[in-house]
Amino acid sequence: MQAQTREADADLVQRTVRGDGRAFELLTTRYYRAVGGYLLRRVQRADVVEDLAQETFLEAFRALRQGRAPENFVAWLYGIAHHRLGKWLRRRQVLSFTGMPPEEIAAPAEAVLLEEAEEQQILLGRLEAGLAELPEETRRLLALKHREGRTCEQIANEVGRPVGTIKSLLSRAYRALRERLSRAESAEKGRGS
Amino acid sequence: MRPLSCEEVDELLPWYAAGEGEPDPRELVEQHLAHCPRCRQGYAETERLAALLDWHHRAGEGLQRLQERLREESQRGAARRAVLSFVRRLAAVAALLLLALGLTRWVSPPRDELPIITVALAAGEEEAVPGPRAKALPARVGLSETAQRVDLTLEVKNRAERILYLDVGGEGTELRLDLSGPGVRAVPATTQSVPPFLSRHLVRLAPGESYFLPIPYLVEGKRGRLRSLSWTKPGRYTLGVRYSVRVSDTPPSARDGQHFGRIRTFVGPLLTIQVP
Repeated sequence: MQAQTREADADLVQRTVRGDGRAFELLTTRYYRAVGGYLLRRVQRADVVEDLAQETFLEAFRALRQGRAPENFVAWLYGIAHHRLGKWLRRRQVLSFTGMPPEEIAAPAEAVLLEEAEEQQILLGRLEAGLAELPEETRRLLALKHREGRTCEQIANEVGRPVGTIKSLLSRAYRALRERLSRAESAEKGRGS
Repeated sequence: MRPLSCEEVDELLPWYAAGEGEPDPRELVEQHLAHCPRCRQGYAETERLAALLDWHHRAGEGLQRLQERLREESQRGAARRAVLSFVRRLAAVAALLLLALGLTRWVSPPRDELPIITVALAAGEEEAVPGPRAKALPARVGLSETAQRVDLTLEVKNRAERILYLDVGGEGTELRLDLSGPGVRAVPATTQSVPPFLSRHLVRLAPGESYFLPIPYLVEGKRGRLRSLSWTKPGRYTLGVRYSVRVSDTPPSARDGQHFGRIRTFVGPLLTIQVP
């Protein structure tokens, strides 16, 4: 399966190199969320992650259009993302925030990169599964909060319900999601040890 | 004020993490977090969850924005190619004008393998006009472009009826590219591997023979003082080309040393380039 994906990626990469913009669009659809998820592990700010993810893909696109076709597209792409992230962290001097020693940020091994990316993918998958179990109304409130960036008060005005109710509904959702994620992680650690 | 319990703090964490909490409870939450490792863990988990939720909800729109940017970039690339095609047509017009003026012997015939456009270089100012021998040395310029670089090819063609010798890379070799427009960037070029400035070598040109000088990254100047030019903004640009090289119709002898032949300067007509 992995070999098939790699082969399909290689085909899309070759088409991009030959000037087929649609092929690269397919690669962005396939990897944009995953690359963002990987970046999110280090920078817990979606706005920054979006900037870095976009820069990553634009850099990859330009390199491919110049005829540079990497052997392993995914590892190469995460390498670019990591490089962009390192630059951003150095610029912002937030190394202590991430708790990561500088040398780890500067020189990741390809295997470590891919493993981290996969872990984040699993985490995002669990989040999606948790969201799917929530009531429709709560999902709508979460979307208003996290997609539109509204405060609880603004949401309350919009949906015509008291702020306390909104906070209570959201609190319950957060707790359920947090528990789901930490339960899965504990189970994972239990299997690993 | 009464300290908060772990349950109360847990309830407030999402709003505290999002900066939405009231000032008083915020202070109490901070006091509690300062001495409760379990709630600090809860706070870290809350922050991570908020970031994941933000990303989950915004990634779709971000992807759309990215794909729009990529499409724009592709279109710009296509437009650039179209511009070069326009410049090529412009060059053809310039060549026709030269023909009309009876200067046909200055114009080199097109060669399929040359990149994209050809422009006949003509002599410029009076003092730069080559003498009769060098007058038989027209040159032409070709531009090619990929997404990130602009290359230029200079052709020096011997239209004389005798053999001519060029001291390429020798003392006096200089290439001047005058790029003007709304945003021109010139950065020092550290490489010496640009053919016109590479090690000094003699070029022997039989009548009708051409010598091609590929010039990557619009590198200009003279040995030791090279710069690479590029445009940084859309708009109308002009590119002028001036190439100086020592030329002689007799092969160099040992006594010529650094002063082989005479420096001849060839000046090209201005190219107009519309960068979208």
